[in-house]
Amino acid sequence: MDLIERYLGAVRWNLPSAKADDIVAELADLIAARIEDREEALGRPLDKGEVSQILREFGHPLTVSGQYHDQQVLIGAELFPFYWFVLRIMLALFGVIEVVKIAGRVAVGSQPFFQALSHGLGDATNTLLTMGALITLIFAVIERTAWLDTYLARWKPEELEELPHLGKLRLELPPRKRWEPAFEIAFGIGFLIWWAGGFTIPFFPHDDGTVITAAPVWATLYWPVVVLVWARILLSLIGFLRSAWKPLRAALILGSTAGTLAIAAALRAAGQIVIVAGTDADKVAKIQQSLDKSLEIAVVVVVAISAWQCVKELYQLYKERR
Amino acid sequence: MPVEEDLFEKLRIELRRGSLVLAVLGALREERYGYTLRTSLEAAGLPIDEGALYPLLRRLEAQGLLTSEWREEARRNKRFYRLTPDGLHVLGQLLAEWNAISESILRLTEGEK
Repeated sequence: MDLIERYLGAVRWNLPSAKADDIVAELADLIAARIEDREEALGRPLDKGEVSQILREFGHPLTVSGQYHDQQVLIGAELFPFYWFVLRIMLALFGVIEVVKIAGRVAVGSQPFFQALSHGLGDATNTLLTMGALITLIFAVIERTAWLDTYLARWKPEELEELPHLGKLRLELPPRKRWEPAFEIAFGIGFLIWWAGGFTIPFFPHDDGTVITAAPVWATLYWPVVVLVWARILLSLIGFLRSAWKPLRAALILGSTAGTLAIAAALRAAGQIVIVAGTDADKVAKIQQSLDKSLEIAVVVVVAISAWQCVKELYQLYKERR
Repeated sequence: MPVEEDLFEKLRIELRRGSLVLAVLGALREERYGYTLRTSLEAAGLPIDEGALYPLLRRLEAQGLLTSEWREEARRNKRFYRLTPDGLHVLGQLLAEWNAISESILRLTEGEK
């Protein structure tokens, strides 16, 4: 009997408290009936092993007690595809952000490589687990409130996102990688964190006698750069989630290109992008000169790439029209 | 092939799961208590796990399709279940649906014979 009491105690532990006594009383009677039946068939009392077998056939206490709860699943079969879709996108997005952060941390070089890598991986694991838990929690609430039923009752096919890359345009355009916008967004956010001083990457190698710092022009360009990067993030986000908003996408393409050109013009007008300082005047002058020259070329290259990118993106946008 | 058997078993359980409510409602046109209900279903070729049957009875009762009462029988307190008028009505509807599905499946698979 001790075994049956232990079994019923384990079942009771997870039962809805209001009905627990009633359910346990019924289960106790049903188990007793089952044992009596078996004893009658065998013509002798059951031993402990046989009672144990009957309880095993009844089911694990958590399985049995779980069946008495109103909610049987955390996220049901209908909601699961929505949950899985959101989870994968969010984890991919944050995964890329974390990779960028790890790369930044390693590049800074203020910590030994493996220490930086292990800290970065630790942070990334925390972020991804927290993100997964939050999304799961949100969807469990959606399941509980039956919000999906309301949504499914009123959704319209007309509201579905246009996916030109699934249609004939796939043959006409270079294949657009599925996760490309997610990478663009993640790199944009990673850049903004760096730009805000979240971490530092020493762009220019320098020795003990020479220090290379950003020219004053960058202070005035701080907010224009932030706005420009946000515009590109927004463009990727809209391209990913609402590709049908073509006028806005075109405006963002043109706006961000104009912004890039304006910033390039400001840098060219400033003459100096970095300032070299040091004790050896000759050496400093040589480095300054070569950097000014190479950065001037870099500005011209950036302008050319931006213009080409703008034309390409506008052409793709035009080709997306059905 | 173990994989095929496994797949068949999954499909079989899925198929039977939907019919269990109908079987339980049908069996409870006459009053029974949990254990005799299970044995009668088993005898009719529809064995149900006890861990699933008794909670199902509670759910059907909460939905107003069954009613129950504790009574002493053979020196033990037992909980007896039977159909309510609503339960009888739903049983009629489910049986009609069951027959319609069965006829449809037969029509669809006649060519296979």
